[in-house]
Order: sequence, then structure tokens, then C-alpha cells
Amino acid sequence: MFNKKIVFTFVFLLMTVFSAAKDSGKILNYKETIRPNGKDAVVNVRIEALADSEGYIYIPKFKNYDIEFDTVEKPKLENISVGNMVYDIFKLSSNEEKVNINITYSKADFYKGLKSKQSDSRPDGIKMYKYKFSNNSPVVIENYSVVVSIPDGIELYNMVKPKSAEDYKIDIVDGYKSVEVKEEGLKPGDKVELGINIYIPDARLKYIVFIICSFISILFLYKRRNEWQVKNLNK
Amino acid sequence: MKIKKVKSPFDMKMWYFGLPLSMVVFAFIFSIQTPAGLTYSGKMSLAVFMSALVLWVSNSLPNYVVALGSIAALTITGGWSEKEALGVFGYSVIWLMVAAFVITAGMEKSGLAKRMALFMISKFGKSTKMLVASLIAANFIIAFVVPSTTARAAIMFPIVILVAEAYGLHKEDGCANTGKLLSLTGMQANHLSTGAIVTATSAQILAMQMIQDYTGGTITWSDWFLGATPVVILTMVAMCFVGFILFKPSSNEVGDGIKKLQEEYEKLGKMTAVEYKAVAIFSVTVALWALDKFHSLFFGFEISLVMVAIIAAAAFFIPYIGILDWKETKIPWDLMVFSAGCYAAGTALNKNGVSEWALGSLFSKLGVENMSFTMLFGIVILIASFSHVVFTSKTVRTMVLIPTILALADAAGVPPISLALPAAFTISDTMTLPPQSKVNLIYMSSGYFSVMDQFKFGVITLVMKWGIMMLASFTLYKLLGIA
Repeated sequence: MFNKKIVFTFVFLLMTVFSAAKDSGKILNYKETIRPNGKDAVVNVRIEALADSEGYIYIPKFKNYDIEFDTVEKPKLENISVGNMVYDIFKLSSNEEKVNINITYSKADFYKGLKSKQSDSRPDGIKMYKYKFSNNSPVVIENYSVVVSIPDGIELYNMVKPKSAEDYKIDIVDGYKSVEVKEEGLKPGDKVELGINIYIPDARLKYIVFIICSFISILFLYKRRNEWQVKNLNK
Repeated sequence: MKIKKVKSPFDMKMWYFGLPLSMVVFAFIFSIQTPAGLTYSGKMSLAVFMSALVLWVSNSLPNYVVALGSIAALTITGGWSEKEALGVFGYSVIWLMVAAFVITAGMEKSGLAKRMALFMISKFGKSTKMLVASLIAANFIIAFVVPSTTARAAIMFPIVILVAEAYGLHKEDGCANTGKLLSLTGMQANHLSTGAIVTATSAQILAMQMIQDYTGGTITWSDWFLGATPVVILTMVAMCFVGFILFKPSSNEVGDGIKKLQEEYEKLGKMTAVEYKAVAIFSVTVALWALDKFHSLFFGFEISLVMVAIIAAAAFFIPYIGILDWKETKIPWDLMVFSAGCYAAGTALNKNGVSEWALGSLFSKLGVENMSFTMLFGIVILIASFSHVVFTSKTVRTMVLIPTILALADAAGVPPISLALPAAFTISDTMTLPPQSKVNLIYMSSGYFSVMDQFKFGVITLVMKWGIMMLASFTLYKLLGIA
């Protein structure tokens, strides 16, 4: 029985050589935008791809998706099987080399969130959004980015993956607070993982904080009033 | 003579209103919408840091109480994880402080410290001015050979403490002004001297490399030295003047004691065996710090700065080699707790990206396209210098600041080096508050000055340095081809 991993690696290497020999296409830019739709997510993928010398475009495999091209004629979808891997490839009908592709699909229960592994002191109600992208195309993605939008009313608590503030950017995108992660040179098989902790603030907390802060302030102002008054009298 | 510290009307107001003000600051930041660009944890770390800052500056609560409260507040509100916040006690700076106190105790018990302090005083301590000047000069000289601000603080700190004690300045008497002067000028001289020598801290070497890579030009060690040193020397002179105005020594703090101290020095006689032991341990320690680049060559392994200090501290306790037992070390644990809390509050800001967000937001609002070079230079250098308030790491600050300024210069249509290199000269300006530098924490642990003392002296010194750099932009920098 062949080890699946060994077969895949061999086949993949073969594909790589095959692609190189054919002056393989590449994906110049790959941008994913994940937006909420209730508990589900709508994922929009914009791909700027370069065809190989025979006019083939290689993209990652998707399930249940809608696809649009900016070409005059819609390219033909073909499948190639390499071992037990199946790739979607599109044949451009003209001498076009570069094509922009728009893909949309749904990801169920993405915004339901997973229980976040938290221990010790912390606010209550933290969940995690997890996202994993795997380049299951046979070509390199030169510039990859993913933007995950946070639904209204939910706080972006912190980033679990990537952890360092230098590796992600937080901004408002189309009215949503969003976190963007970029990677360059994603080879076939490479993965990008995101772990985003979110927090639904408890409305009671604001009142609790105000009460505690007010109590402490008034207590100390009252307790220290004698020393304050003595000092002012002595001025 | 005991000097009883009386709170001035301003200090009194700060003390009385400081706590309520810190509560207002915390509640305000807690309840606002999380700014775009920040996480919720970032917002909470900012709330804890700002309210702790108000408390530290106002002295409204003891520092160690604020520190403990900050650690608790950071974790409960989600500003930082409990594991990381508590882990600050394991940071190298805390261990370095513990080791520094052990070394100080060892030097003190042996009598060597007294001999060194009395030697300094008999040669240079005829007046407080001369003493302060000699400590500043010593800081500048060792900056050439010891490429670490923290190591230099660890070397100079015991000397500063022991000189102050030799003068009979007891901190519990209300922080005698000479004690404040010695420790604060020692701390500031450490930072300012660093700015003159590019190799005195790794963040400056990083900045120089980033500027070279961006501009394609070359900046040599002497380019940096010639550009930075005149400003540093003038700033240190100005710092002395201001220090003596802010913390004017009373006539009987030093003057009456000098003759007596000189007589005491003469009475000491030859060095004892115990003193020789202390000399040996201290000399090896300083040599290991100064020659850290050669550890691999000599020993086949690297020994970090803090490990050298811990080894030295251990040496002071080893039977037959050392001279101390544990009860003699007198480690001020309240200051250790304060340092840990301080560092936790500051580091949480960095880890949550608050520092980068604050700097980026500030620069983006500038509107540089229509500014004259002088105005742009003034604003950029001011921001570059005071940006240390929100960073606890010079390296992280350099990685954020320098590329931002290089891009800003391009947007404004000025040569990038004319803004970036002078901004790089401010990297070591980390002297206003305790969390910004391990050097600050080490000197703060002397107990001779308060956070407010450090803050006001630091701000004034940096404003003076900014003014001197503005003058340099018309003169020295033009001459050198920087601006």
C-alpha cells in the first residue's frame, strides 16, 4: 500500500517539473474577503492569474462556488487528475495571458465561533474564529491576503495566530472592523492559518466599572479631606 | 540632619486628585468604542497603562500598590494574559536588578565601595557640581567600551548609591536633593551618552542600517559621532544647569562633609583581603560585560548580560570566594514589585500593537505635503523623541519609527536622510518614565527620586535637546550635509 503522502509528494514534484517545463502559469494576487451573513460567512476571492504558455490558468480547488472572469469569452473548465489529486484548470480561448477571476462561496457556521482556550483571569465570553487557507493549486501564489470582517457588536479581542502585531493589520473595511494578513510566495501545499479571538461585551460591565471607579474615588476624596483641608488652611 | 519632605501645594493637589483622575481616565477609555486599528486587548492595556501613569506621576498611591493593581487589572480586563503578565517577574531586567543589589551589597560590605566613593569624592567631590560632572563624564567614557545601556547602568548604579550614602544622604529623610541629582543625572547621562555613539546600543545600529538600505548611501561610525556628539554634549551641560535649579542641593548636604570624608579616605589605609575579593569579582564582571562579543572566542559559549550579573551575585555568596550572606543583601522588594508592574503595563502596550497604532495615527494626521522643512523637522524630531513614552523597547520603536519617517520624507519631498538620521539620534531618549528603559528601572530602585521627579526633569531635558537639534538643523547638520 502506497503511503499517500509519498505519492502526493512525488506527483507534486512531477507536476512542478511539468509546470516549469511548460513555462507554468502563476497566481499574481490572491485576495480573500470574509464577510458575515448571519452565522455563516460569504467568502469572496479575487484572483489575478497568469496563464501558462498553452493558455491554461491554475487555481485552487473550491466547492459549491460561483465564478466570474473578466475575459470576453468564458474560459473552459477542464480537470486534470494527477494520482488521486484533481485540479481545476481553465483554458483561455484567446491569446490572453492575464485574467482576473472573482469567486464567491459560503462557509457555514464560520461566525458561530469556537470555544477559545482561555484559562485564568479574563473577561467572560471569548470565542475564536479559525480560518485555514491551503494552496491546493499546483502553482505559486505570489501575493496572498485574507481580510476577515468582524460582525457589528462584537469586539476583536486579540489575535492568536499570527500573534505578533507586525504580522497583521486592523482597519475598517467597508464599514466592518477587519483584520488583514498577508503572505508572499505561497508554494503549493503551503498553509496560512488565522486564529482570531472575539469578545461579546457584557452590557453590565460598563455599569460595574463606573460604580467601582466612583466608589473608590469618593472613598479616597472623603478619607483624605482632612489632610487636604489642613494643607489649604495652612497656605 | 534629617530633612523632612513637605508636599508642595502642587504635589498636594496631585496627591489628592490623582486617584479620582486615574479612575476617570480608566473608566473613559474602558467605555469608548475600541479605536479602528486596535484590538480590545489593546484598548484595555491602554486604559490600565494611562490610569497607572496618572497614579505614578501623582504619587496618589504607593508605587507597589499601583504595580500590583496594574497586573491584576491587565489580566481581568483582558489587556494581557495572566501567564504573560505574571511572567514579567521572570524578565531579565528584574533579575538584573536583584543581581545589581547583591553586587552593591557585596561592594558595600567589603569596604571597597566606600574606598571607591571616598576616592571619587576626594578627587572630584569638592563640590556637588564637580561630583555630578565627573559622574556624567564617566558615563560618557564607558559608553565607548560597553555597548549596552543596561550594563553601564549596572556598573555606575552601585557607585552612585554608595557615593550618595558616603555623603550621608538617606532616602528616608525625604530624598535629599543631592541624592536625586546624582541618580537622575546618572540615568540621563547614560541615555544621552548612548546617543553619541552608534555602537552604544543595538537599536541605533539597526536604525543606521535601515537608513542605508533605504537611501542606498553609507553612514559611518564617525558620521554618526560627528552628527550626534555636539548635541549630546550641549544637552548634558544644559541638563546639569537645569538639574541644579530643579533639585538645588542645600548647602549642608555636601559642603560640610567633604573635609571629613577626605580624612576618612586617608584613614582607610591599605586594601584588605576582603576588598581584593570584591575587586576581583567586580573586575571580572565588568570585563565580561565589556567583552561580550568575544565570549564565544574565549569560552566557546555566550554569556548574556544578565547571566554575567547573576554569576557575579552568586560569586558574592560562595563560601571562601564571596563575602556575603543572604541577610546582608537588603533587596528592596517594593521596588522590584513596582518594576514588574511598570514593565508589565508598558510591555502589554507593545505586545498589543498600541505603540505602533499611536505613532502611525499621529504621523497620518500631520499633513506633511504643505509644510516647510523647518516645521516638518521640528515636528518629526519632537514626535520621534517623545514616542518613547509608548514604547518599552528601543528596538521595536526603531522598527516602527524609522521606516515611517523615511516614507514621510518621501511624501514630503525631502531627502529621507535629513529627517531619518536626526530622528535616529533620538532613539536613546528614553528617560521620562520608568517603564521605558531598564536603565530607568535600575536607577529608580535607588529610591532617591520619584516618578514625578524623573518625568519633569526628563521632559525638560528632552525639550532642551530638541531645541539644540533645531539649531543644529540650520548649522551643524547643514555643514555635515545631513539637512
